[in-house]
Amino acid sequence: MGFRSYLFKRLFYAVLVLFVILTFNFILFRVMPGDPEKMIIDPNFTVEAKQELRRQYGLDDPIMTQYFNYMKSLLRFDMGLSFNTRRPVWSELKERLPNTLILFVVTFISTATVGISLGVYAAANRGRYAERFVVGAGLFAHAVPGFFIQLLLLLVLGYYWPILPIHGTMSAPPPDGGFALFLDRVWHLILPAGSNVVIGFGSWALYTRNTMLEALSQDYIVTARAKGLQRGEILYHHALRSVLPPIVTLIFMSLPGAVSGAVITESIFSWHGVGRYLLDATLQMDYPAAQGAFYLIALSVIISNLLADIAYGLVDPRIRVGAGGQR
Amino acid sequence: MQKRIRLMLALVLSFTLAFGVAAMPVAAAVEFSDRGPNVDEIIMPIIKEQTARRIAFERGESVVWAGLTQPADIDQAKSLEIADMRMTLGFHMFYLCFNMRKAPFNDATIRHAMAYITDRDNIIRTLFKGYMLPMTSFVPQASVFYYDEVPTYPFSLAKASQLLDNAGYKLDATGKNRIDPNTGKPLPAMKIFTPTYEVAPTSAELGKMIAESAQKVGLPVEPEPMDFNVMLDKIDIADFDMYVLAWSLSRNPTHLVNFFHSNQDVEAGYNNPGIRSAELDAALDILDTAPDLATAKAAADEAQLILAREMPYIPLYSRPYIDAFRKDMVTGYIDMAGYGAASSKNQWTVLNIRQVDETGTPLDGGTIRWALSEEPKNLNPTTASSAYEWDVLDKLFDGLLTMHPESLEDMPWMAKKWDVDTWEVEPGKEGTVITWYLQEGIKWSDGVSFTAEDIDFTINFLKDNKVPRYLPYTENIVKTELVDDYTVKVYFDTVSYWHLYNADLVFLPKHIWQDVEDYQSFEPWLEPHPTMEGYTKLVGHGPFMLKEYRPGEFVRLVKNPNYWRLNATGK
Amino acid sequence: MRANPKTAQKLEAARAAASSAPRPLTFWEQYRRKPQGMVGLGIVLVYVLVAVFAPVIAPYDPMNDLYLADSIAAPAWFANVFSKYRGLPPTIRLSLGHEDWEVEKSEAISIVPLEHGDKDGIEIFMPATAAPDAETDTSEEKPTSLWTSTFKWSPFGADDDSKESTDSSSPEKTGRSSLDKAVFQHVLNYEYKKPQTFSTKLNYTIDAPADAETSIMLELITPSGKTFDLWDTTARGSVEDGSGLVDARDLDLKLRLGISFFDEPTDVVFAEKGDYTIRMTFDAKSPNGPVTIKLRPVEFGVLGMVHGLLGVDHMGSDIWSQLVYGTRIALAIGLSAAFIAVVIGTSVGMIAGYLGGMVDEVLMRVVDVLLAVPTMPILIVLGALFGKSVFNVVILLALFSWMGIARIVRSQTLSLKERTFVEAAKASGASSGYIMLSHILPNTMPLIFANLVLRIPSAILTEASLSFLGLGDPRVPTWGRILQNSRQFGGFTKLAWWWLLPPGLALTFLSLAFVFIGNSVNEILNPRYRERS
Repeated sequence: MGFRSYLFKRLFYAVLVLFVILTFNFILFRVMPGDPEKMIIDPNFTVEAKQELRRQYGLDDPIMTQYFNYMKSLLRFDMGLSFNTRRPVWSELKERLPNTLILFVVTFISTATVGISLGVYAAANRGRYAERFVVGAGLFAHAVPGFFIQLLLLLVLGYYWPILPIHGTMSAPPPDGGFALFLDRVWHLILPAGSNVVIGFGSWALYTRNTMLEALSQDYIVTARAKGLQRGEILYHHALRSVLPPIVTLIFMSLPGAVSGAVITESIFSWHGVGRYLLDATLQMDYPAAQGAFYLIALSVIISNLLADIAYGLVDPRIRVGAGGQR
Repeated sequence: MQKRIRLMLALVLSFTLAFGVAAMPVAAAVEFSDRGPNVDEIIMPIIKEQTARRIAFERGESVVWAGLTQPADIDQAKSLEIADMRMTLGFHMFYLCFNMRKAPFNDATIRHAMAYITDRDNIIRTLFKGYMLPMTSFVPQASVFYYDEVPTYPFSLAKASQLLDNAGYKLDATGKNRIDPNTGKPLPAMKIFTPTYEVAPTSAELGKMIAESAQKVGLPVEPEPMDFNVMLDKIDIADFDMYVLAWSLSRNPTHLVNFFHSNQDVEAGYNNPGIRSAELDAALDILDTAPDLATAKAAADEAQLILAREMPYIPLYSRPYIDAFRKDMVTGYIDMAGYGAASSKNQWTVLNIRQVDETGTPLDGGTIRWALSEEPKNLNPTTASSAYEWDVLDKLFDGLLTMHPESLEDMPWMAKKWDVDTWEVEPGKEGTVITWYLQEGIKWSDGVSFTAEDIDFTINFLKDNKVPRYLPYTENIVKTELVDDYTVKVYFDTVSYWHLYNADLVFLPKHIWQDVEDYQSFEPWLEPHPTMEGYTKLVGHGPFMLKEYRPGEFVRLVKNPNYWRLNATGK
Repeated sequence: MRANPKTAQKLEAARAAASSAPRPLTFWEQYRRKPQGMVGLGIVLVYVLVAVFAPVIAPYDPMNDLYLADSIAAPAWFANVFSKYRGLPPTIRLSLGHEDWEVEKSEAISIVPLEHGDKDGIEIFMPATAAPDAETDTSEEKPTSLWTSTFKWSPFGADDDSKESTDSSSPEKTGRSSLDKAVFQHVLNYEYKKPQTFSTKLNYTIDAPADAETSIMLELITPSGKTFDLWDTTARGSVEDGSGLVDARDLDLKLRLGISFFDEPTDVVFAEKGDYTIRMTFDAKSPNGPVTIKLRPVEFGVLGMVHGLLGVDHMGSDIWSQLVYGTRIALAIGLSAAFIAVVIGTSVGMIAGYLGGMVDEVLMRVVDVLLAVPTMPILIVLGALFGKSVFNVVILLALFSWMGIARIVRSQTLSLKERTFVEAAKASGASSGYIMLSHILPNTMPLIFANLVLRIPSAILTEASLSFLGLGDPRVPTWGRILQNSRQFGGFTKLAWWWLLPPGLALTFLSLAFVFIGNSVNEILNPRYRERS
């Protein structure tokens, strides 16, 4: 089996998973209590008006009709109208997606950079205090509940010494001019992205260190050392290069976890994003909205899993591509 | 109790007035101008976290910290030197509802006993630190329809026990339950549904307090916190014993008809207690179809009297509006009974609020910042339903009528006058007809004139599309008739004093909305205006217009240069 | 295990056989040498002890003991450490019975103790008065009589300063003054800063003829001698179960003191340090018979602004007790969720690995699907659907966390399957179930154990996050819920770090401990890892 059939198989699984999740999603939200008319609590809102609202949402159609309509419209990214705001869910999600992506990308790049460099640093300083410190801090950061760190940072830097902005992605109104605007965005990213780095660098650093140490004990490195190559060159040229493939895979594989983290980060820092949207929609039983957000999140996770598989297949030719699911 | 509440009401009002005047350098609290606005721009940052709003207020990033409910916040606000605390009565009602369809709540004795064991004062004291007002009638104190000559049930465990004993509900051997004389068996466990501790900790705790009090007289009441939606579902199908919830009511007592008329005792209707009383229905019918205010008032009094006797609900407390303003930054906010000083329904604050400099001298123009507590997600006036959305929309639209901030009486606004007559719908059946005479020279924010044609268009648009939100208002409208550019008649198929308010809707600009095909997916605040550069199709006739809305961040409103009530100086 | 005794015996034998393989040191002997592991174990042990002895360690019930102090009161020891909290009052609750009062009364009135619980109440007997025509509410007209004026109402001082001069003639007719009062005083030393609230509660019963008029007045006299009339009542005839309550939070008291809605009564009446006097005055006018007043012990209280080890939350519930009981919940949730996940994961992995073929394919596809589901969102959604009980949370946590274990166990099974002892068993005709239970399971046990240990903290943390997002069980005091409460109900407004820090640190140390243990176990079981570290 070549790479192409491997790819094809992965793609097939991805679509299968998507289908299962979507159906599950549909059933789940039908069973949940929640109606559009429950969102309007107004003594003047009569029974007739409620019925009209239900009719307009198509909630009185047979269940299979609803299912097919749901599947059909999701393919077109038509997620229906939110019960709560009565706006198209997709236009609400579109508003939030850029914020989530910005936070995600910034968090990701900085966490990976900090984590990997610390890991390499620890490996390079094996047996010294520097390594112990990195390992200790990494373990600690790994163990602390993320939302607790975020709450602490919020309390200290947002409230005790209110120096950092505590809500939103920009000042209201943002400053004029490209660079000032950029700085303003960065300023607002410090707390949410920074706290994510604090939470996340630990596992990156530990993973990198372990992989590096393993690589350094490989035969060819030992040979290189024996040949009298510079320590730095060995470290960065040979060892680091050999640990890059697993790290690339790790990048993609940590995406689903990052999505979960986004829900909490966005709700703590009042970040107008998709994760918070899902939480709010779920708590309010606004199921078109929750379904839409869930669909988007599941889709992104499936795509990132697929990318991880592809990357894995590309960077590691030794993979036994035929062995079903075994990694 | 009655005496006390009335006294309290009087005092509360006099507080707000007296302190309002004293606190203000300029005597602006009771005096208000019907022209404005006095600021050029309002920036409304969206700050969802309670504590973040506090910080914003303290740092001067918002001139108001509005809608304070938690004692910790109120205490914090009043400790601030720069804060001017305002308290106004609200149209809020928190109540306990009985399911009168089944035993034992079909017996008034049990409901009365429950009323006696309910210690409102203690609830308000321990859960709200005293920042709520006890309520004994079914219309909030702020309304002119409030009637307090009704029987009350002041807290007394002894009275409750006595009442139960006399009605034959004797304590059983354990002393913890009572025997139902009708069945001869101990009373079944009675549950009070409350929202969960997460959603509404005070409501959940309140359920527990009432239950514990009831247990003391041998009523087996238990609190059951549950998910809000599950609770609403169960209430809809009348699968409950008791529950506690709140209503946000309005100036008019028509809610009594919706809550207690037997024809509302249907699935998803609002007669949740399931009260069916011919006597009450008669009074409510009169209230619903009253041709004038006096008849309505008499019917509302009668209904409140019957309700207080029947006790389908136990009214518990009413939440006042508590708002803190930065007195070093702004002045001119007006207390409005029932609506609060900072709520969006209070157009007087919107018109009158202005900046002050360090010396307290009022300034003209400038920008004020006013924090919103939620995202105004939907700015389509036909579908927007949450208070947060109307927080913004109300500043963009005016009504045909308005209300005096103190007396809440109708005042002419965009309609300079109006007639209420009757017409013959069909032989032998009368209906109300409202004639609106519009002020001339009112313009939409894009400069197009606002005429009777817009009114005609809007009513028919809402009616034809069966827009659910407006269905209760438009369902009795038979037709409209354009008399001339500034006169329009609205015909109803029934007679009712309340049709006057049903005919005063949020009017839409015909020149924008006539091209709208699907009102639900139309997002006027996202589509650019065809002629006005930098503005959107969200065109209104209110004091402000929408300049910018960045979801999740802020809303920016600017003064409407075409506003018809601009200050005479023309600024 | 769940199998019958016979299987268990075989299993024992198999395990014995497996461990008879050359192994120089037992697992425990190796583990003992890991300082990290021992520290972890120590911490876990502390938590377990706290959980077991929670009722002893925690002074209060975490859910039901409310209003122990003013909402969000700071820890009591802050008063000794931070100047901001110095002199703040702790909770004061006094029950003032018969012996606590200093009494001034006319001779005609008799006062005896009234049996009531562990503290005696007071029973006041007032003989009948005459002259019903001269009834006046003198007590109501002198609402703020000064301290000294009390002494004018001496037993024989028939004539007081009453405006009604006609009154003076009546006493002689009955031999008892018409203005006979019983005045009770209690002196209370208060040496703290101004409290936010105080309350006084009277419970009384009046037994009197129908036309009798009994009045009760409650006053507070400040150290500087100002007298405040806090409450009074005038009752006609008998009163069953009467009560009077003065509370600084009530609008009633604010109106009585003439202050506004936003003012604090304590600013007016309780702002000094020194001796306060609580004074009750009883008076009765009853021409047609005696009046008996039964008074239960009077309750006086000040809600403390400092309390206990960690203060109280917004409902006045003890945070330390919540923290201690939270340990129980955390351990229970972590252990049970991890255990269920390990059981599911092991079964699925072993079955898939051993049976192979279609079974393997299907099971591994299920694992793939579940791995692709974003955990937190699905837990949020399912939590909202199935209700927020601890049991549901545990099940959900387990259902979405067994997949990793299944994969590991499967690959281990795949390699064990090729081993000779399995081949031998298979050749001797043993059933698949038997081989899995007695040959494969024992050999994967250490691996399973390591995974169990590592799953515990992640289950605890996930539950805490759910609770924190408002999706936890509201009836259970979990650490996540304490954190959520602190954020939602004023902890941030008051910058109450003592409310936020303890549950967070408790979570951190517990999860750190399990990570230490897990690492040590891994080092032992995974020799490759051991060589390096």
